Amino acid sequence: MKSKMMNKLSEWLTDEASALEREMEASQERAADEDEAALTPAEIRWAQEEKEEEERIARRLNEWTDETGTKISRTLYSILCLVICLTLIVLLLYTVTELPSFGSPDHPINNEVSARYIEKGLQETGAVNIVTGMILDYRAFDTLGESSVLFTAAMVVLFLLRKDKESHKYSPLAKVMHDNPHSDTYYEPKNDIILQKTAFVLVPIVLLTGVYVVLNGHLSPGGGFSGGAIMGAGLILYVIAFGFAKMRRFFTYKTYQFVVLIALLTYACSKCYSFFTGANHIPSVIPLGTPGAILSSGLILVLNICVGFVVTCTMYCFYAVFRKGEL
Amino acid sequence: MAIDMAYQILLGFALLVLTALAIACLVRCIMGPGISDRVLSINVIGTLTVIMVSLTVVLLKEGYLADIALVYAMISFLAVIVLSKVYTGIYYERKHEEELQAARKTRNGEEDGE
Amino acid sequence: MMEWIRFALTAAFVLAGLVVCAIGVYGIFRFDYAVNRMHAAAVVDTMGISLCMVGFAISAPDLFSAMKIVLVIVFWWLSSPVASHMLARLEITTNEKRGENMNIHEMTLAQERLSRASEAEIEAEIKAELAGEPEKQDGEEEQA
Repeated sequence: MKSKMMNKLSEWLTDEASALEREMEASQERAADEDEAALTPAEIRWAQEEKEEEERIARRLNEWTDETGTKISRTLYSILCLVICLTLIVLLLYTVTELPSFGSPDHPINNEVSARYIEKGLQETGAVNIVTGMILDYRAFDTLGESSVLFTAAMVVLFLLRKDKESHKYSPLAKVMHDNPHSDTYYEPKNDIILQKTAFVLVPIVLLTGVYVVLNGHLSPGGGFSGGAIMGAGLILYVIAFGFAKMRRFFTYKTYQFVVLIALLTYACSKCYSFFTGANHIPSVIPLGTPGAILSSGLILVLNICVGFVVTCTMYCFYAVFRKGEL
Repeated sequence: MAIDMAYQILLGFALLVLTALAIACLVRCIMGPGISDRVLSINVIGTLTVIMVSLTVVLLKEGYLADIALVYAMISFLAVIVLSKVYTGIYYERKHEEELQAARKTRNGEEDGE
Repeated sequence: MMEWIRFALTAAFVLAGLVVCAIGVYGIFRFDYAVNRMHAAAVVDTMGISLCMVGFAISAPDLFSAMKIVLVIVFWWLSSPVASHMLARLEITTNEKRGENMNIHEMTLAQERLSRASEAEIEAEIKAELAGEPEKQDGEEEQA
């Protein structure tokens, strides 16, 4: 039943697409015919004159840019740099002098919110590290937004820079890259034995450090974002040493999608549960545990792991897409 | 406490010296004639920064800052590797481009001569 | 009294490390070519960092952080030679005037040439260009 429906759907889609293509071709042919048919001798002369005019303008523009344009733009660029930097420096220094002195009792950050976090944070969230308790419990919605922003950034970079088999037909930049297939990744030294032996030792250490930082996020400084960045650095080191072909054995575009979507969904679901229980004044069934133990502080550990996965995949995705154009 | 005062003087002096050395390396990084001179001085700046971060472990008596030193060491190592690899690739790419241009020019010249 | 002995040891190690670091940075300015400068940078990377770190580990607040500081030294000693290796590779490939300033064994250059896996292909491409063939063959090979 399902497969039949799918077949029908795909047939319908292909029909639609081919119909569109036919229509486009027909319209193009029509346009070409009209162009050739409707030209009178006067129109041909006008077209020639227009073309000559355009060429003359283009030549003058080229001469101008060659002689004075670069000079003017370079001077303008340095003057603008200087002016903008100086303005920013003066503004920031002025703002710094207006700030209240560090640690004074009448500082605006000393209000009831921070007092509440400091006094009741450990009791309410169970996290020894107050910062993690704050960003993943009191303000977990913010952090969901931050992870989604990372995901969106990675998606946009993929949209803009990812190369596939068809992209050289649509984008002029991709066409240039397709005609000259040897970018700098093609020439860089590969299979450096010294680097490979070192990476063989170092990549597990780096990844383990990242895991330690992620899992200890509620006990010591660190957490999902910094630990994820370290794990992403480990993956990048692996790619540099062993090449993209070996990386694709276990990390492809599909893995990326799967991991990131599962992590974001888990985050959203667990936070929905907390919001539901909190808004209806129902006690949560997840125990907070003893502060200081590794399995404590309720959902914070899960959320940290989710954020860590998202950041790891995003780091690696940025590197691979900017370097090679594909995951 | 006299001992705390002594630690602060020693470590403050060390921090000043390390900062001066890092700024000197930055000068070499800007001056450096070749690309490898620049990457080299960035490597030395990374080393000095790792020393500075470990110094704050003693200065502030906070053990967790050693984690940050470890992480900084990893990232600095990665930066040097990536930079040298990328610039080697770019150098070869440019050279290949120039060779192709020269080949094209000689070919055009031959055709003109004929 | 114990505290003061620790402080004295730390001071001795850290000051020695600072002197070594200063010598290394002076060497970066003193020497003329990048490969010579790498000698000076290696002084900072090995002796300077280890002396300073041993000094900090002696007066670290607890044993665990002292171990972590020692781990930083071990990590740096593992990774710094590899970074220097990549840097030297970059230097001998990108320096056009390498024959004037340094003697490189022919084997090294031969290996460097071998590691350009694409060398033969590039030469074929240039030959094709000289013969007047367009570059299309290469693209077809890529697709196949």
